[in-house]
Amino acid sequence: MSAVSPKPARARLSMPSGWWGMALFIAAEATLFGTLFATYFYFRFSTAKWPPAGVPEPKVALPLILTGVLVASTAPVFLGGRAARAGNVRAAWLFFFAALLIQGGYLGVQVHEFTSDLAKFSPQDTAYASIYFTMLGVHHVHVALGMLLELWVLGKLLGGLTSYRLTGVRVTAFYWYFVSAAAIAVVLTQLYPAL
Amino acid sequence: MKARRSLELLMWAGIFGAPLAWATQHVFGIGLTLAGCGAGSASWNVPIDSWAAIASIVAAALALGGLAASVLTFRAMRGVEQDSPPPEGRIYFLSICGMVISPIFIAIIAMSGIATVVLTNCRQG
Repeated sequence: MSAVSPKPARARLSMPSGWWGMALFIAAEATLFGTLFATYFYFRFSTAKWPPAGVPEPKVALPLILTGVLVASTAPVFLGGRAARAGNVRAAWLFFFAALLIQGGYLGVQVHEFTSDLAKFSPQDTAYASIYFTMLGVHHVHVALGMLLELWVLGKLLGGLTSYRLTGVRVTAFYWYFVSAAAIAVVLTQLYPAL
Repeated sequence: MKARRSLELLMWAGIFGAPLAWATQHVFGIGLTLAGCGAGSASWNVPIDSWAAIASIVAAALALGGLAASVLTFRAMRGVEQDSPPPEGRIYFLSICGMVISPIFIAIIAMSGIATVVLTNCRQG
């Protein structure tokens, strides 16, 4: 892995096709999250007691801290993208690796919380439990997908930087900004009964 | 320059035509349900099926227009590849996206419209 490779051409003023592909993908994903939030509040407004009897209120502190950690991981992603645009492959690799570690920690704790919630109440029991686990599960899958994208970027960066790979770095960062924004919306919806 | 701008407009019409047509049909359907099934508007006797059919036909026509716009854009960009530099590469790539997503939205519009007309109104099942 070379420390500094020649700066890729930046003559383009328009975004490459890969960026537009990610933009369309994010639009579809945003629609998916939108339907989940709409479903959550549709159920909420159809029920007097929320969460229903026998289901514990969600914890507040831990999900907020975890979301803060995930949102903070966009800083190394942003810096990694900037380093890649400047042609500094080594710095880009290290920033993305740092982001991957933070996000791995986030996902590990979230999966532990998810399975511990599953031991307390089941998605088959109530509409609340059904949408609660669906919403959180979908979000966690998106985090896992983002980490796979980062692993792919890390692998590609080992071979140096090309314009094509720079597009990959940009779209991966773009995806992470979306996942972070979605994480804020998900945690606020999740904690809504306890706020 | 003017021809390229027209082509870009056609490309955006191809990308957004069908999704916006479905979104309009969907939101109109929500309003129609509220007007036709709400306790406060029971005396209005809103013909839900007729309005749903009209909305579906209009939405399907708009979505087909979006599909046609994408096909025309694609044909105009013959010889360009999706890895070509923007704007040509972008126009070509997004015209393909428009051709892929428009039929999906046309199917959604058709299924929503048919279901509204065929199923019993004002009853959740």
